Amino acid sequence: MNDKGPVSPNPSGPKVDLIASIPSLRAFAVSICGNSDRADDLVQETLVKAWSSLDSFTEGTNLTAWLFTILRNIYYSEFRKRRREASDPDGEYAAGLIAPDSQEAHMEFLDFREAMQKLPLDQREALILVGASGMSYEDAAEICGCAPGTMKSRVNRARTRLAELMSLPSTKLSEKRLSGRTPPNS
Amino acid sequence: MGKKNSDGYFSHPQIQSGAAELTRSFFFDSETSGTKSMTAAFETVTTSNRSLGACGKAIAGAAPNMTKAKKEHAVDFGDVIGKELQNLYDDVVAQPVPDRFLSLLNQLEKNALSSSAPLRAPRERE
Repeated sequence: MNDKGPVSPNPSGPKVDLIASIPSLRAFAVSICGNSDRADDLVQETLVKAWSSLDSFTEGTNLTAWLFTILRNIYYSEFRKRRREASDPDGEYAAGLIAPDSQEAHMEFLDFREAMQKLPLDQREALILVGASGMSYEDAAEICGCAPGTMKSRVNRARTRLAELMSLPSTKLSEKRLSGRTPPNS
Repeated sequence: MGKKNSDGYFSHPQIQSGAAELTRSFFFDSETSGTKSMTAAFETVTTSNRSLGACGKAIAGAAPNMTKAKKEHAVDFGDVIGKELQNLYDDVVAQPVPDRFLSLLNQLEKNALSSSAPLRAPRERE
């Protein structure tokens, strides 16, 4: 009756490997979609799809990268669908913008998470994959179906854009950032 | 213990992907955070060829360390953007796996065992 734990008679059950990948998968999902509830729905869909496609996974290759690819495909199909439905050709709505805390904050500069959500999706995922998830440029490029050089230029453009959105000068980044969230009237 | 790898450790295909990740992080890093989990994984692998479930558990248990160690050779932007990125990501990685996913996987596993049909028909692959 207790079905917790690896009591499976099938010793090569993929469950444990998938469980080990869930933290990274969730972090990737939250980072690209900017909403933790939606991120977990994405993870759930990814796990279901991964489970049903396990025969297409090559043993010995990077499971996390494979799962990221699946998650990304799911997210992109939803993204395109929402964009059509919302007749939002620029994708601004569908990009899941987070409303700024206040008008002033918006006018001055954005918090990091807000600024991230302002980035085009391809740049956002490039930043996350390369700068946070530990993927190499090559792995990240494979996940996104582009060339490593393209990945590098996305990362660079994303960094430039983020610095603009957060009003970060190219130097003295930390000082600027520290003063970043003080209330406008103080 | 476990510092020197030998080919025999990773001979079983089932653990290769996890073990390879561990190895990668282990050999590229400061050898501190990964060491304990590596040792545990080695022991499980070497002492129990049959019990892959337990081996997987050791790898799963090592996941937080593994992720942390992996970070070391992520591209480090070395500035506030890099730090914010890492924080954003690590905050979530550090959270425990929600029960809903454990139940989901248990369910998927149970379905796979009781019939060879998956929970849902696979959609067209992309």
